[in-house]
Amino acid sequence: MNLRIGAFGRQESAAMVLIAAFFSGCFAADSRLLFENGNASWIIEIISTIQALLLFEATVWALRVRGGNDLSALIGDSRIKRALAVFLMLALLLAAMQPLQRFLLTMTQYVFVESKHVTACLYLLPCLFLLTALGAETLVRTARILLPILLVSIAAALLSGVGQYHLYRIHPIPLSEPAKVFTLAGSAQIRAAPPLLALLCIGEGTQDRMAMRSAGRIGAIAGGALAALALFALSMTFTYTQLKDMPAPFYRMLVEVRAENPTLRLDRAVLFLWLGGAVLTSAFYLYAACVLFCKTFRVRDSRPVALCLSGIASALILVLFYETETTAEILEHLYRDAWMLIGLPFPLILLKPRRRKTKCAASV
Amino acid sequence: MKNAIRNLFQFDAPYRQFELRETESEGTPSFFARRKEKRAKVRQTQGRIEKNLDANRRWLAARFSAQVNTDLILRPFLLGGTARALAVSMNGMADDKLIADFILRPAFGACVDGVSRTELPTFFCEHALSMHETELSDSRDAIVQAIAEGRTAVLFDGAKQAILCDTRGFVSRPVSEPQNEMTIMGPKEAFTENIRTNVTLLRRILKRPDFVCEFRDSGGTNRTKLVLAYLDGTVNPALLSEVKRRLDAISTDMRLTVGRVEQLIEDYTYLPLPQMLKTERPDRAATAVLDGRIALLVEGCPQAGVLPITIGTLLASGEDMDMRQPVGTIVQAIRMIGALLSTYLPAYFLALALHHPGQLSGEILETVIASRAMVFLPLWMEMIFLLLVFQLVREAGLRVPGSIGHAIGIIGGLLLGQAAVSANIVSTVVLIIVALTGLGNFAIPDYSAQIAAAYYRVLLCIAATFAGLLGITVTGLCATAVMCSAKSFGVPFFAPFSPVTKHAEHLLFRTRLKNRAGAPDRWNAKRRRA
Repeated sequence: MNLRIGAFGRQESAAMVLIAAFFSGCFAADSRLLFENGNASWIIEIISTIQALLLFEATVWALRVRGGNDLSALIGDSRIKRALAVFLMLALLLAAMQPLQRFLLTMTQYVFVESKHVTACLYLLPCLFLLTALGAETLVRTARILLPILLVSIAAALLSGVGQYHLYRIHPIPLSEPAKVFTLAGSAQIRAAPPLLALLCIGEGTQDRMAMRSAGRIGAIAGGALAALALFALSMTFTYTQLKDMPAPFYRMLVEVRAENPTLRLDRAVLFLWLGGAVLTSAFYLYAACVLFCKTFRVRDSRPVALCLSGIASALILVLFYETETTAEILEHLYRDAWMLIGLPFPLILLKPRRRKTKCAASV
Repeated sequence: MKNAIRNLFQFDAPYRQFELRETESEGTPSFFARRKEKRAKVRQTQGRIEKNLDANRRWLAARFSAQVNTDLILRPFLLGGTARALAVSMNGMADDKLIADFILRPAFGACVDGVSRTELPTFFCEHALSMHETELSDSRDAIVQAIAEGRTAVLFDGAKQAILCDTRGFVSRPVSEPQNEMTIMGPKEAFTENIRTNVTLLRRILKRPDFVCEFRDSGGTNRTKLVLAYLDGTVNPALLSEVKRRLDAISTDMRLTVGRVEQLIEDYTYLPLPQMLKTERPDRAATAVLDGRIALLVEGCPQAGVLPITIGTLLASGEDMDMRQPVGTIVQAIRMIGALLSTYLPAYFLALALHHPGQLSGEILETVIASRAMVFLPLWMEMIFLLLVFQLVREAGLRVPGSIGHAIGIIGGLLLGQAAVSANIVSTVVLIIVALTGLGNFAIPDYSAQIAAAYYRVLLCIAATFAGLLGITVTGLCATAVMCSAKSFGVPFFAPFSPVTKHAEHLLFRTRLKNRAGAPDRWNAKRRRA
C-alpha cells in the first residue's frame, strides 16, 4: 500500500487541525447561510466546535474499546462499510470545496475582476493535486511551517481593525432560543467536524491514539476559538444585513482598514496568504477522503484517487459558480443539509455490530 | 574520359572519415535511442599471484600495458645476492628515494641463506625492510590497486606472496585558506585534495578515541578512496549502515567528487536544494561529526560532504557559533531576511506592478512609471533579463582568476548596469531591485542553495507575471510542500521547525551557549542531549 500517510508528531497534526478548523469555520461557501440568523455566527462556531469535539472523543473512545488506530478500522467493522465511507467522503469533499469556493469568489470579485472562475481555478488545481498527492506527512509539516505566518497575519488583521469595531452591530443574537442555537450549531457540523474527521482518517500517521486525541483537542479548540474570535470581530465590523450579501467579509474588513491607513497596503498579500491556508485545508480534507476510499475499497495507491478527487472538487466548484436558479437551490440545500453526511453515519460507526455466528461456532 | 563525365554528373564519394558509430560496437540503437545502458562488464583480475617471478612480471606488464605505459617501473634485484625479486612501482606516484633507501638498500645487504623461498616475504619484512607501513598480500587485485595508488609491490621468485610498502610520495597542494567559505573569526585551514591530509586535519580537531575514519573504496574500476568520518557510539547506526549500503552500490567509472557522490546516493534527484553540505572547512565538518552526523571525504576533492542536513544547515555560517549571542542573533536575522528578500522581492514587485498596482502607493507608482518611460522591454521581460544577466556576471566572475573575477563583477555591476539604464534597456527601479536581490542572495552561505534560490526566483517571477500574487502563492505553497516532503538521509528538511524537535537553538534565534553533552535531537543520533 502506498497511501503516503507517513509519520508525524502531535504539534504538526494540531497545527493542521487548527488551520483547517479556522478556515472551515470562517470561510463558509455561502455567507447567507452563515449570517442568516443574525450575528450569532461566533456563538454557533463555539457550540459546533464543542459538538464536534464530543463526536471526536466518542470516536476515540470507540477506537480504544474496539482496537484500532483510525476511522477506517471502525468503519471496517460495519456491514455497510462502503456506504458509510462514501457518506463521509462526500462530507469531506463538500468541506474541501467550501473555503476554495469562497476564495475563488473573493478573487474574481475583488482581485481579478475581469477573470473567470475557470481561469483562477485552473491555477489552483495543480497545487491542490500536488498537495493531496504528497500525502499526510507533507500536509501536516507544511501546516506547521505556515501556522506562525498565518497566525501573525490573522492577528494583524484583527488588531488593525480595532478602530472599526462597534458592539451594537452584534445584535440581534438569537440567545433567547437555546434550542435554535443548538440546532444551528448542529447544522454547522459540515464546517466544524471535518478537521477532526480528517484527523481520524489519517490517525495511523499520528503513531499513537493518545497523540491523535491530544492533537485533535488542541487543534480544534484553538482553531474553533480563533474562528469564533474572527467571526466576532467581523460581527462588530458589519451588521448582519450587510454580511448576508457580502461575498468576502474578511477581505472587506482588510480593505476598510486600508482605507483608514493608506500606508498599510498588505491586504492583497494577506488575502493570498490566507488562500494558501485554504488550499492546504482543502488538500487535507481531500487527502483524508482518499485514505478513507483507499482503505475501504482496497486501492493500493492514493495518488490516482487524489487526482480524481481534486478534479471532482474543482469541477463541482466551477459548476456551482454558474448562477442559475437550479444551482443556487442545489447549493443552498447542499450546505444546509450536508450535516447529515456526518450525522447519519457516525451512530452506525460508533455502534459495535453484532457478530454473526459462524457455522463452526454454531455446531460447537 | 568516361570517368570524367561520370564524375561531372555524379556526386563525389564522401571522404572516408573515421567515425565511431554506436552500431559498430553495440548493435543498432533503438528508435528513441534510450536503451538501457548495459553496464560494461569490468574484467576483474581475480586470483592470486604465482610462484614464478617471470610469470608475475609478464602479468603485471600486461595489466599495466607496460610497453606503452612507461610510468610503470619494474625493478628486478637480487635479495642478498641470491634470491630473485622484483620491485614494482608507479613513477611519480611513489617516492624514488624511499624505494632506494628503504627497500633496495636493505635488500642488497640482507642475508637470506637458509631461508626457504616461500618464507622470503615474511623474512624480508621482519629482518631487512625498514619501512613503517607494510602489508603481505597474495591477491592480484590488491597488488594492482596498491601500485596504482603509489605503493611499491615487492615480489619474490618462488614465493606466493608480495610485500606492499607504503612509498606514496606524490606532490600535493599544501593546506591553505578556504576560498569560498571565508570567515573573520575561526580557523583558516581548508581541506586539500589529499585525503590523508584531510583526515589528519579532522583528527587534529577531534582528539578522541571514538572518532572513526573508515576508509572505503568506491565501486567501479577507478576505486576512488572514500572516508566516512563519524563518532562511534554517537552516530545513529541505522544511518551509518544505510550510507554504507548506498556507497557500496556505487559502481561507476567516472571520477568521483563529493558532489557526484551526493548525486549517486541521494534520495531526491529533482530537488534543487542539496541534500549534503559541501564544506571546505575542517572545523565545520568536525562540528557536524560532533553532532552525530557523518562527514564524507573523497580522494582528490578538497571538500567534505556532511550528511544529513536541514534547511538550517544551508543557512548557517561556519562562524555563527563564534559570535556573541546578541550579535549572532542579529546577524542570523539579517541573513534570513536577506534570503527571503532575495527569493521573493522581484516576484512580489512584478505581481504588484503588473496585476495589483493599487497596492503600491502613488509615489512609488509614479517613480516606476517615470523610470520606465523610455524602456522598450516589458516589465516582466526586463526583470527576468536582468536576473539572468546577474547570474551571468556572477558565473563569469567565478570562472576567471581572482583579480580579473573581481574586475568582471565591478564591470558587470557598475558599467553594464549604468550602460543598460542609459540605453533604455532597463529601468533604475528594476536595477535596484535586482541589485538588492543579488546582495540578499549572497547572504545565503551555501553555494548550492544560492543557485537553487536564484532559479527558484526566476520561476516565481514567471508565476507572478502570469497570475500575480496568486501565482506566487501557488508556486510558493508547492515549493514549501515539496521541501517539507523531502528528507536528507532520513532527516526531514525543515527539522527542527517541522517536525518540531527538542533542540532548536542557533537556527532562528541564538540562545546562550551552555555546556552540553550529546548531539541535538534533530539528527536522531544515538547519543542525544537530554
